[in-house]
Amino acid sequence: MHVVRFFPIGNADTCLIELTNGRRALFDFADMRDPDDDDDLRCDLEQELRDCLGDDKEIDVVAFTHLDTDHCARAKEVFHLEHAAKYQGGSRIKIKTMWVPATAILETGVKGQARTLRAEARHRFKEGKGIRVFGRPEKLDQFLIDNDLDPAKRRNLISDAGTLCPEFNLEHDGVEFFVHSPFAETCGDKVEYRNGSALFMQATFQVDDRTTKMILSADVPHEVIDDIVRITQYHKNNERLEWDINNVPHHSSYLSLSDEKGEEKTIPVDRLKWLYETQGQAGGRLISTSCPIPSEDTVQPPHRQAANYYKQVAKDLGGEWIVSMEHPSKSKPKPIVIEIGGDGSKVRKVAGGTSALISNAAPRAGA
Amino acid sequence: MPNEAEELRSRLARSVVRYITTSVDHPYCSLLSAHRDGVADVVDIEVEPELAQDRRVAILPQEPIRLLFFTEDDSIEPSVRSLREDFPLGQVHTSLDRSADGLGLCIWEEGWPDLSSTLTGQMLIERIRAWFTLMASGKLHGDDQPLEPLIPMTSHTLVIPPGAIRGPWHIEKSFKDAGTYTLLMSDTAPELGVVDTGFAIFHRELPHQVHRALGRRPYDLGALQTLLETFSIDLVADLRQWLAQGDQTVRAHERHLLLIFAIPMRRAEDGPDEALEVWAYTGGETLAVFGETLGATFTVVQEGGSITTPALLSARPLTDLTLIPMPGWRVVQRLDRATARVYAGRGDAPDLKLVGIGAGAIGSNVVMNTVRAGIGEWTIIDDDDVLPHNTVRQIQTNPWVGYPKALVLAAESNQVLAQSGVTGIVENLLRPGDKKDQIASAMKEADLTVDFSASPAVVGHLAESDLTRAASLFFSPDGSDLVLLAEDRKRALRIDEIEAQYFLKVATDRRLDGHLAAARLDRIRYANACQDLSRPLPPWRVQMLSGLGSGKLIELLAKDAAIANIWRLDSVSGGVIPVPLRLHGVQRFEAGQIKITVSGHVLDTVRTLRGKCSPNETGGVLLGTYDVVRGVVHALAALPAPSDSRQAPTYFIRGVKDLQPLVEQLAKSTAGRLKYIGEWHSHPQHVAARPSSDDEKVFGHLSSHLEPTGSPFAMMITGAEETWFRIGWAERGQLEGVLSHGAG
Repeated sequence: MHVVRFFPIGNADTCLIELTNGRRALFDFADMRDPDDDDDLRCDLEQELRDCLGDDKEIDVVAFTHLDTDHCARAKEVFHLEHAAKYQGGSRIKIKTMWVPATAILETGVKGQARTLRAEARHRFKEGKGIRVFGRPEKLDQFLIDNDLDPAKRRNLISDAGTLCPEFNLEHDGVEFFVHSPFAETCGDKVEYRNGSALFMQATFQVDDRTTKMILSADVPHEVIDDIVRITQYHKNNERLEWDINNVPHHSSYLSLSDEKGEEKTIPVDRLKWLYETQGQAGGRLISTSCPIPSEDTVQPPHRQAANYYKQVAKDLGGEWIVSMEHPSKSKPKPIVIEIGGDGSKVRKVAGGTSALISNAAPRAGA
Repeated sequence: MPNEAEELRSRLARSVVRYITTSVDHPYCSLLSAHRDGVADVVDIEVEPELAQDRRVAILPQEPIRLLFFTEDDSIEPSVRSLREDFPLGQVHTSLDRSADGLGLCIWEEGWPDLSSTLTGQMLIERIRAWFTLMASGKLHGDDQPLEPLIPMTSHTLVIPPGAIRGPWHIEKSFKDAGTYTLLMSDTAPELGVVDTGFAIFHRELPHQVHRALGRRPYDLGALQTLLETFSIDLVADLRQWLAQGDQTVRAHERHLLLIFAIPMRRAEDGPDEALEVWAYTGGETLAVFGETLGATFTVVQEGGSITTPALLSARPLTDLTLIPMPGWRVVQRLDRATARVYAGRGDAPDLKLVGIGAGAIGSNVVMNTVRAGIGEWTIIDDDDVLPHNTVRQIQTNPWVGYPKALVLAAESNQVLAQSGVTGIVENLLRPGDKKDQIASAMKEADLTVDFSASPAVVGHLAESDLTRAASLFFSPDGSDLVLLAEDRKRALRIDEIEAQYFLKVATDRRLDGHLAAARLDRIRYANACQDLSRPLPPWRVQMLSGLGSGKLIELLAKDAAIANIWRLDSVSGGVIPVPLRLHGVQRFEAGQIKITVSGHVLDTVRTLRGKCSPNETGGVLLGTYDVVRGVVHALAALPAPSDSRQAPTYFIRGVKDLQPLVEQLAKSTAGRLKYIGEWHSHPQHVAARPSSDDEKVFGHLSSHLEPTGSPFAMMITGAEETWFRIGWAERGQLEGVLSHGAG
């Protein structure tokens, strides 16, 4: 049984995949909680991650789908980074292989977490180990040439759209990752390219004879998804966009469905309609990694109209629509834990009581 | 808690509401409403079960449920109903109750009084959630569970014989207690004539059915007629014809109608009939009244009785059939061995033939226990009679004192189930007399022959007998340990060889200290002869270890491999510690009147020690057991050279330091069974494993010392490729052999 976890961290993304064979992949890490705010319902992501890792101090793959704060907050405080001693030692978690889009290496004018992670990605890329770069724009070759490196000697570290990531395979790991995006033409060196050039992947899990497919779509806008669908259909790779679990893009922003928000429900553009309504499998689950769905119109996601569309898709599939900050309740959100077994996906729903008491430390007692 | 919920009368209803509304952690359940409705408290909820994506039954992520609570003290179990209009119908463990305002769900199988004492609001919700999870996965009704009935039964009880009964039905006995009947039915007429129980039986076998959701229970003749029409049976027409027949018109004003319907049941339409479901109904009135109501008969009351005759064709039309109550009976079936195995959790086990040697403490208890589990058509061989002291720990009781134990055990065991299968042979296995052929035949046909006698002689006899498989189950002398030794199904290891390895284990495993060390002092005399001694042994220990032995014996029947295991009972703490024994393969040699088996452990030991000491020769003594009657020696262990031995590339002189106390200790811990049987030594590389002139002197030395004693004596020489041995044994002569190092 494989386990997939999404964490209640507000409008932000973190997805931990734990495989039956013990290997792990982490998609984004955004520890958004304000520890000084007692009313902040977002989880302590670092602690949650460490609880999952137990005694392990290394993750096989950590993917940063793009370098926005809601995808990498506090990464430089938690992970062991190879490029500078000040990010090493202590109980920092090591990253065996880092996955980044090419934009994460190329973009300029970045600050904070993004700058540190860019430095780490550039260091690993120049060292030629511990990294996989997605997308192959010409500027990436130029980056290597500028650093006195032969681009041909870094080809093995670059994955194009439409290929499988070599770090995992179905035979040994029970999972494979197919990269849909970024394409070379969507990669750039400007911060504003980030969403469009972010990682968009399909993970295919296998347990016994049952495959379970999950779409991880970061903050990709509908225009890029439209391209992904068009190209996938052109290559007759429709099964690569089938899904049992869909981490819907950009915290349920309507812009990942259409340019038009809609009055009560966003109507997706045709190719996205196909992606959700045709490619979704019976009992499929749509996950919105976002704040609770508002009842009023808002500028920032999540947008209730987009949520209404996804909710309808879930209902039609006989599946579930789950919002990370509403699961299991808005007042006490907890990580969404999805077990993947021989009968597809299953959301773990363990009620409280004695088991909850004894699985956690008791409060301090005494005079 | 909502105000209306505070007014709920049922404690459990309030607990449910409190849990859902105030749980610290999310209960995966929400409260829709809670209110009083007449005699019931009604709590409507929506539960969120854990659901896998692939579902055998279309359960939804949110399932609306109605809970009905009927009493303040919850002495009546609450009703759980689905409020989903499209809930999948026809599922096992759902109920189409006639009074339901929703589909009834069978959430628990325990008795309500037992369950309710620990059932909290949270537990109830969790059970309902778990029910939906299991229903969705298709695991709610396990393949190992018996088939669900088509309709439930209550009221009076009909006890029917085991197996598939096709009728006719006879009433064997009748009991009436507080207005409730219990009828014991038979498929054969009672030997002592017909029992007048006041019932006339109308019986029909209906077409086979596939088990499914519980149907609506008929409470009246109209509903029963409607139900049976779905089986293409016109019940009323058949009844009218039957009531007018001669047998039914006799004493019709005194006798009552008993309807019995038998339905062969299947798990799937194309599967075999697995069970027979039986329905029984009583018409509340006499045959006479019933016949008149249906227009079948006419009864004239006159002085001294009444006369019932068939009605004229122009009899008055039928009344409304729904006005005729038809109470359903509870029907329970007596157990045969196959059904007993299901109740004992061994439904997949086949029926087997077994032979037991010994009907004493362990034999009688194990046989009785396995019979209760539906295991075994036993043949018991024992020539003892029941004596008063036997009743303390054997199943034979005081009235049986003086009778043969084997026959008493058979008689008692055959009372357990409705199917008998235990027979006794009053005979001594080792001196069978005129029952020799009967015993030989029983053992040959049996799937397993079990020695309960704790007699090495019996073990030896079984090892050489023509039988399928042998086992030995016995207590240690003080009754604190249980031993199970069993051959593999191919008899690659014989029971005496396993017993020999057991003795070595007892001698060398500290966990078994004292296992065979019971002293004669703790025996008590039960009669006057010098051998009339028995050991005090509390019955609880006998039953505890016998119960364990029964279970392990049943497990053994399903396995192919040889088994040797010892369980030590700590009578202070009540704990039982298993000490498993790893069995080694043997190589066997036989010539003339001598048989010897050499354990793979011996061969492994001498080869290992030879390798360690090379290029010097090394050696030591051989230990084993032997049976002077059968002329069998089991070579079990080779000890390393004592520290004062002299070892060189061309010779070995075995020393003596600490050897004698060690061998004596080993012998003592096995009640003298493990003994010195000879010497072994190694030969260097490139020297054949054959006796040199010096070696012949050693063998002569052994012969001169041991031949007069009647003990066997062996010499073993291990070389690089093979190991040679010779054994001598008084007038039995000598036997030589070569052990291949490639064999086990």
